[in-house]
Amino acid sequence: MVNFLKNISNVWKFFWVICGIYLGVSIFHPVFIQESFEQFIFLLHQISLSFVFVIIFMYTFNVLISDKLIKKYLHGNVGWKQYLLVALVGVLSTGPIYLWFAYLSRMKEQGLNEGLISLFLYNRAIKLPFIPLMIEYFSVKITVVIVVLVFLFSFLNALLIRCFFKKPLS
Amino acid sequence: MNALKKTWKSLKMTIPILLGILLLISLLQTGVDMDKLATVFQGNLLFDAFIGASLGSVFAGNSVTSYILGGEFFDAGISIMAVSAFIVAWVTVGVVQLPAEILLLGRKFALLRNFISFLSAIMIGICTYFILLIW
Repeated sequence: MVNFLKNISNVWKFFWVICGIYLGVSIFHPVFIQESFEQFIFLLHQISLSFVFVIIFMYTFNVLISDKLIKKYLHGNVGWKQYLLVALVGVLSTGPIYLWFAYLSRMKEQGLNEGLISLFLYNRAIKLPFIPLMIEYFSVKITVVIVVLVFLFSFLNALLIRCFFKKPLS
Repeated sequence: MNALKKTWKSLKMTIPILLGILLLISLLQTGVDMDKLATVFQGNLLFDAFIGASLGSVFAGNSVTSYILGGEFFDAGISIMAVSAFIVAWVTVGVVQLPAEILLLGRKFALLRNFISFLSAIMIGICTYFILLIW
C-alpha cells in the first residue's frame, strides 16, 4: 500500500484528495454534492475550447522553439526585450491560469526564471477579448486605468520575484 | 516527435490538476451565495479595498463573472478602490489554485507570487481611485 501511494504522482494525489472530499461531503449533503458536480460538468464544458487552444499552443511552441533556444534567450539574467515579449505572450494567452501551470513548470526546468513566469501569469489578467465587456460595466476611463496599472504592476511583481530568487554571486 | 512527447508530458500533469481545481471551484461556487457578497463591504475605503482583494483571491472562475459582480458592487455604491482590487485579485491571486501552483511551480514561488499579487491588487485599487480623482 505504501509503495502504491509512493508511485502515484503528486498531481494525481491532489486529484484523489479532492475526490475524497466530494465522497466525504456526499455522505452528509448529497444534494449539495450533486449540484457541485453539475457545476463541474458546466465548467468543464465551458473551458473545453480554451483547453484545446492551450494544447495547440503547447505543441506549436514545442515545435517552433527548442529547449536550447529557451536556454539561450530566456535563461538567467535577461533584458527588457525578453520581459516585454513574455508580458505580451501573457496578455495574448487564453484559458484559465491553471491550464498553464504544467507548461510553465516544464519551462522552469529548462531555465525560465521565476520573474518571467510571474510576469506571464500576471499579464494573463489582461483579457483583450473581454475589454469591451469591462467598458460596458465600468466605463472607458476606469478600464484604461485598470489595464495600464495591471500591465505596469506585472513588471514590478516580476522584478520583486526575481530579487527573491536571484542566486547570490559566488 | 520530440514536440509531441513534450506536449504529452505537460498534458499528463495538466489533466489531474485541471479536474481537481474545477471540482474545488464547483464546490465553492455552489456553496457561496454571490448575491449577498456586497453586504461584507463596510464603507471604509482602505478596509473595503482589503475586503475586495480578499474576496477576489478566494473566488475563481471566468473573469467575466468578476466584471458582472464588480459592476453590481459599483452600482450598489461600493468604491472603485474596492471594486478594482476585487477584479484584479480575481485574475491574479488564486487561493483555490494554490495547491496546484505549489505542486507544479514550487512552494516558495507560489506563496510569494500570490502574496505579492494580493498586495498589488490593493495598490492598484488605491492608484485607480486617486488617478480617477484627478483625471
